[in-house]
Amino acid sequence: MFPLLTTITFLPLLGGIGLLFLPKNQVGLIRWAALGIAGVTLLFALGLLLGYSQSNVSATFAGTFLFTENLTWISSLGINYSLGVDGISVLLIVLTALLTPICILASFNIENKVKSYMAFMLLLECGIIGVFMATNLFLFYIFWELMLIPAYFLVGSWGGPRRVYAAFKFVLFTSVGSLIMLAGVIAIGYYHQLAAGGGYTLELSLLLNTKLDSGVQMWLFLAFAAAFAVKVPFVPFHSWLPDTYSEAPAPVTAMLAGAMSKTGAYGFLRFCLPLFPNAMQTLAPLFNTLAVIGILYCAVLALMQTDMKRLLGYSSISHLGVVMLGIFAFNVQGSEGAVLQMVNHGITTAALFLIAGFIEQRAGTRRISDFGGLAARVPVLATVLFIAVLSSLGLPGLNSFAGEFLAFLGTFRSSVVFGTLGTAVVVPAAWYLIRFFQGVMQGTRNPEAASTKRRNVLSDIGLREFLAISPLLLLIFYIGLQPWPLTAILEPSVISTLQNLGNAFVR
Amino acid sequence: MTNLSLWVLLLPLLGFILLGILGRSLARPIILGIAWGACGLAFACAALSFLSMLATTPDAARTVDQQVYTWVASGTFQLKFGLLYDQLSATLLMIITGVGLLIHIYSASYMEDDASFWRFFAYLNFFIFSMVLLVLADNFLFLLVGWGLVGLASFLLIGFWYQRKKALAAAQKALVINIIGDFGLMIAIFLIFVNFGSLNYQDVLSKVGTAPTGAVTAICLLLFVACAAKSAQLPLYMWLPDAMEGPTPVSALIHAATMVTAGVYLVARTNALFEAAPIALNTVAAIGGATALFAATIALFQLDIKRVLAYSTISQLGYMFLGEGAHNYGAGIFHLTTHAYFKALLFLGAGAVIHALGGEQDMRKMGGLRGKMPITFATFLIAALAISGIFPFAGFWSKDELLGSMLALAVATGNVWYYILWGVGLLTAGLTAFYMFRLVFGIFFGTYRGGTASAQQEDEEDETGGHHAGNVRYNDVHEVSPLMWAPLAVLAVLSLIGGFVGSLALFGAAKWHPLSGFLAPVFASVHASSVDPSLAIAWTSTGLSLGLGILGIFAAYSLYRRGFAYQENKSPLYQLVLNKYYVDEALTTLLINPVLAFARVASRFIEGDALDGGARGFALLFRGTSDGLRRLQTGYVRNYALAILLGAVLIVVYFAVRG
Repeated sequence: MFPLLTTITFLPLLGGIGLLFLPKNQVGLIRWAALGIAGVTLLFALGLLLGYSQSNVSATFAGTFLFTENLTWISSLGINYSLGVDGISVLLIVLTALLTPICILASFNIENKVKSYMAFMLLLECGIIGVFMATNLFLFYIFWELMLIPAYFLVGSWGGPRRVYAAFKFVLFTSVGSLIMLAGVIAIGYYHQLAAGGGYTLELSLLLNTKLDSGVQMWLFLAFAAAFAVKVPFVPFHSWLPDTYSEAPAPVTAMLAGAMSKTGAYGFLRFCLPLFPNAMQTLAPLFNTLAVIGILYCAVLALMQTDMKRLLGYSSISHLGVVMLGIFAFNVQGSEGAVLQMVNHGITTAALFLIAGFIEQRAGTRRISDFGGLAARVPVLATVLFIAVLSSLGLPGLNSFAGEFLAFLGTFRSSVVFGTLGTAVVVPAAWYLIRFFQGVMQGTRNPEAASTKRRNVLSDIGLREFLAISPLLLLIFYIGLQPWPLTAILEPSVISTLQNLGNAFVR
Repeated sequence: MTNLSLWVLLLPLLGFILLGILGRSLARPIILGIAWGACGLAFACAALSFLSMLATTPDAARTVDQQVYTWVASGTFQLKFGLLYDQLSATLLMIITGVGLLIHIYSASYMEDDASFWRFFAYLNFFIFSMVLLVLADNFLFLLVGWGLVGLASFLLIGFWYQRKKALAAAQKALVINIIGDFGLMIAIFLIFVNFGSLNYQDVLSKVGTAPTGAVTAICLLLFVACAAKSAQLPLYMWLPDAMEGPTPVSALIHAATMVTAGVYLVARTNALFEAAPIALNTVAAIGGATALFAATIALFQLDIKRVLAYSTISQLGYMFLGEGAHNYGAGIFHLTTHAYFKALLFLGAGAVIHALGGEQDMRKMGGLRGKMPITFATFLIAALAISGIFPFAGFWSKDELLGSMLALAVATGNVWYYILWGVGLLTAGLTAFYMFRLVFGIFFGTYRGGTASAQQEDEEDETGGHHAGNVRYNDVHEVSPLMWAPLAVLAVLSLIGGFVGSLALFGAAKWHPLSGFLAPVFASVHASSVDPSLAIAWTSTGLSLGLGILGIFAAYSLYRRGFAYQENKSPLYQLVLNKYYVDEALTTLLINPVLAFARVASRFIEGDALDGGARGFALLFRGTSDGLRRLQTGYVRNYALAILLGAVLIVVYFAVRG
């Protein structure tokens, strides 16, 4: 059988390496080659989506992955090269494969060290997609760490003035979390062997068969959660995010916020929920509380941000809190809403960061107070931003509404208090997003601002920029009008993920 | 039955899409062709369906739930998008598309000078689409979609002149307050799903009895939070007066005739729930009555004519809720209908005056326009009589029906609170007549007070907007164009005869009640006895409210018949009312500013010092440790030899001590 998953994962990596052999001064060729590689990867990913949706997965299948590939690697340690997808990962893979060419296209204005930039972007794609495909914990860990390398260089070399500080902080936070997870990964094989006998294994499908003792579950869960909670991020482990997102070049931020940030939430759903169901349930009140605090606190903080990208960064934390509430609701609506919201947030937040980048590039500043009244000058860009803002604030009828509604409904079904408190975010969210939009696009231009001096540079959205952003806009409308096809893909996988919860799981 | 409701929904959407994408490059006649065509055809479809419904018997055949597609299916949560076309939605579609069409026509002339002509009509079509969706949805989720989209349309149109700071602030306020309502609606929807396992109206409303009363009460109260936000009731009314920053046709369509009545519609639609939750229904009545009186008092002293009308709208919406609170949902919808005619007319009349005076909205600079603008004057007078409840104008029939129901309820239950609410309704009727005729005399009687440089206080932001606060001389004032006064005339006719679809029971023709008879199947959950007042009660209520209305007009006449003269009044009570009870200021101080201050402080200290500093401290700790450890790696063999020796000694000592 054709190794479709390996192709999708490693095509970007091989392509990225291939780029390095191109002549350095052929900047145009490098850009188009990178775009081509990402585009072909996207085609394969769409083929995967098509194949998956036609595979007639029945609602009863339990923990099975499709399109699996298995190669024994280090058999004594149970380490295999095993890939597989289910409804949850397939959507996130397609999201990543879609965002990469978009972000590469949006990066065509980067002039500095284009070759390595593009290679790192493709390597980042490889790492993220690998995380979503790995079904062996060791392989998962490798991809998890692999993401960090290109992300570090992309932020640290092509970012804003405080890029080195931001990149360092990002790596410090995430690697502390990751190391704790590594301890958990090693230990889970041991405890599995202890409970189930047989050989030491890190193969997910085998680990799922054994129910671990509650006490063991607890500390293993905390070890895994350390890595995932930093990545999501949960408050108070979020302080790397506003710095990283604001200092990174906009297309990189779009990749980090759109695709990479989903790996944390994905980890909770893919590994923690089925492997440590008791610990998840015991600690749910704690995590729900942290999620609600993050949702509301970051929404309020976003009100007073003066930097566009920082504002969007806090907004991103707030939105991912909703995903976490959905996962910790332990029911079908909550989990489906959470994954749908991961996809939606990926689409919307990528669009927002890219637009912020377009504006920053024109005006040379990200300070909201430097703008005002731009709509008259750049009407199409203003409209595009407005659509993204509406999507982000959860306007009924657009994509985020569908995901948020399901996630909140699920949360409400499991806990009226957390459901109500989480839903309350719609009010501050609308407030800060509209302040942001009005501050940049409406009103009158701040005559004191630096951007005024460069007013002639301000032009409306260009063709390349529009092409980059338009697939996201189409999805914003499409998913909002009809989320049904996505939930249909998710449903069997979500049910099988939740089944380890036993009686506690609610349809 | 011919049911074209899907077209009523899709045509305005098509108009919006066409105008939104191509509008910028189209000529004005084509823009008008698309916008009027979309709204006009939608009206035609609505009217055809309505007539077809009238010809259909029996009543059961008049309700059609047309499933369109599956929106989402997630576990036990299944949701199909569908359109519920029944007597209630049919009635509202007629108002939305009918009044909408008149305002589309009027706006062509009103907005003719505006550079963003196309954008205005695109938004108008979008609004019609959203409002139709709100009314036609057959489930609570798509109600929420419509609910959110009309809020967006309102936001866009309030902030239409987006260079004006005031308009932006007003738009932001309207959006945020409306989202508070959406939040209430969302929680209500969650509760409905948890209790009934469905969001479809017909499923839910037929199963009301299966849920505990506490849950139904909670659902109804939360629904009413949404209603209060959308329909500007206490304590969520603050956005509506500010919404007057939008162009006047918008105020007429969205902020008077249609969108703000969505709350009244929702209570009527879910009457089965409210009937099962007496506490919630009493809350509706109490909030409605309190708002009616509260807003009417503010309207007494406002100087901006649009603001008077805005507070008047809030007050009239209170009436509608009062009627619904008295179990007479039909009367609520009836008042919604007549109010749509006369309040749209009042706003469009005010708009004609503002247009003729070059953007002036301050009553202190008007007066004596009767001779110059006879059509506007005549139609405005008809509307003022209608809202004041003077026989035989439309408002007389609808207002008296709901006040009569309230008195009947009070008599039947003997509950003193119902008497108080009825009294509040009567008092408000008197106040309404007074402030409305204060406006009539102030605008059209006496001598013209504008047009002199000294009388003009320059609006600091008028330069950028579509209109310039005027300095028009009396001789330059002209009646508005036929495109503008024709809608006024149509609405004036409706304000005159629109009430005759109500009940003529007062005059012994008890069998003549076409509207309430038509709507009755929708309100089947209501006990018939609680609605119909006896003739004695009806006449008591009607007589008193008519008397108070005439008294109000007389009071206005005696004060302002020679024109409005503004006098500074220092009395604290007057200042309190003039400044709208300082509610906005109080909210800003108590709620908004603390939140913003918290955000500012938290950004600085929690985010900056505590977390960032903490992380840096953590990093420094590591660096310090490793700096210390690094010093051990000296590279000298003698140091390492010493370390090995020390280690060996320690191990030996350890084992020796352990024995």
